[in-house]
Amino acid sequence: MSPLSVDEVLRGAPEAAAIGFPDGRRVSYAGLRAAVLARDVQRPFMRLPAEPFEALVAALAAWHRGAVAVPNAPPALPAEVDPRAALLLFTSGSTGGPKGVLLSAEGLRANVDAILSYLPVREVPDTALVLPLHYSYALVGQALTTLRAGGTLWLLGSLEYPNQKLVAMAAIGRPVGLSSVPASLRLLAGAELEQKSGARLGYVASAGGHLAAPVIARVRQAFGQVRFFNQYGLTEASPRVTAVSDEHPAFAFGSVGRPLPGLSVFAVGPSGERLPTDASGELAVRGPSVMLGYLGDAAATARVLSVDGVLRTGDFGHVDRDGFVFVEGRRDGVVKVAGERVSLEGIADAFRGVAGVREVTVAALPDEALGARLVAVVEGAVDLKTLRARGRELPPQQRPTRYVIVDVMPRTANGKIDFVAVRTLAEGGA
Amino acid sequence: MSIEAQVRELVEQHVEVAGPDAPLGLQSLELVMLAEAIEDTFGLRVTAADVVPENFGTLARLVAFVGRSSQKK
Repeated sequence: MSPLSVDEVLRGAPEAAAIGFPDGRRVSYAGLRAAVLARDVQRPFMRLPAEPFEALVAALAAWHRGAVAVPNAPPALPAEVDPRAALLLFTSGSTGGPKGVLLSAEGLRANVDAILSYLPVREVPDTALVLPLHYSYALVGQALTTLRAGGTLWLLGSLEYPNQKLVAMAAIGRPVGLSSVPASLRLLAGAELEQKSGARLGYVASAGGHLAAPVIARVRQAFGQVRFFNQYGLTEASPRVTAVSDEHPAFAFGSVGRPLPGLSVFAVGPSGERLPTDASGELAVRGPSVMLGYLGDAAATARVLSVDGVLRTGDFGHVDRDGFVFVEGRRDGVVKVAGERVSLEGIADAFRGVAGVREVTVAALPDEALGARLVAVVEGAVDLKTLRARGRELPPQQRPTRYVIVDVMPRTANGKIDFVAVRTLAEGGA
Repeated sequence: MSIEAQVRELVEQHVEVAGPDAPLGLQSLELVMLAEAIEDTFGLRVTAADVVPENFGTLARLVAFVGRSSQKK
């Protein structure tokens, strides 16, 4: 069984460059195909190595042979999995602790083709990949999409510093397509204003957070009148759900765009009932790229995915009469940090297992560039060093920027955590 | 708390510090977050051009960078 064969995914001419490295080295489509076919595959789960090229080869090999690619797995995985599955991504999920989002081969294929209906990868065939491959945004939205369009995927994610990324982009010598989150786009544009590397952009696509007008202005100041796309998606939807180009007036009004072909988006009320046009509610998605479910967690799956395939996103917003989607905010307890949804309760849980910790509350303070900054208020007999060491085991977006250790967690008269007092503690002395 | 202790605290949210001159090896997202945290903590403006190995490569360089920028403020 080959739900996503190499012939289906790798659509460039054999001699054309499929992969480019920061030092300018390239691997042709024929070379990449040979590497994929030679790769051993473990079933049902194929853990991907950390190095981006090896990870990509392993993922393509897994899909070619019908295994499930797993970029960032915990040590234990079950012995069996839904046969439709192709990709397992661990995220903090919409609620609670980390969850394995199980995506189908059909969903990945549908999403890649839907992305290619608007993202000009065929006109701008060089894609600068600056995000880690364990994001669905990078692996599906950029890597798979570029290879299926026959373009060249430049693996620049291992370059840590913005100036290094700009030098590598300039060395490509042609305009490149760049997709990232607003905080990183802002930093890259700022670096280019100082550095003048000469990197040229064919388009810029943003997702994973509010695309503020000053970020757009800064990117244009640095790179000229480049085409912009605002997008919305979530890992649970493989990931892309909506997109809009700056040629449409809705872009200027802050819309994340219309649903991609094959998807429908609508707002729902508290009991899942569909709300009328323009009414605000929880945004919901239906279509082929919606996840199969959370791995081994039927209860969590049932909370967000209805039996008839409607995925509740956890984002609040509305859909206007022309079908444009506007995102207004998050459900309680989930915030976005540098483009990634993080569950405050999930992070608190990660610290509850630390020796000496009795109770943890994580507060999110507003941060202009990152969206939010996390502070953990910890009750117990524990030292900062231990808390920081635990924090480093979490993905960067989930790490508290500060820890406040208290003898007693502030509580209200009826014994519940007093979030107002916790927030005051979190803000103090920052 | 000294500048060095404060900077060390911010860095240690992301990586262990083996010594003042040991390479920190921060990933790009960690750099973005650390630059933000330094802005908030020290009331500095950290421009993108500041986020280079010469300033962020080791704890000693980062402490020196924060010291220099604080004087300019």
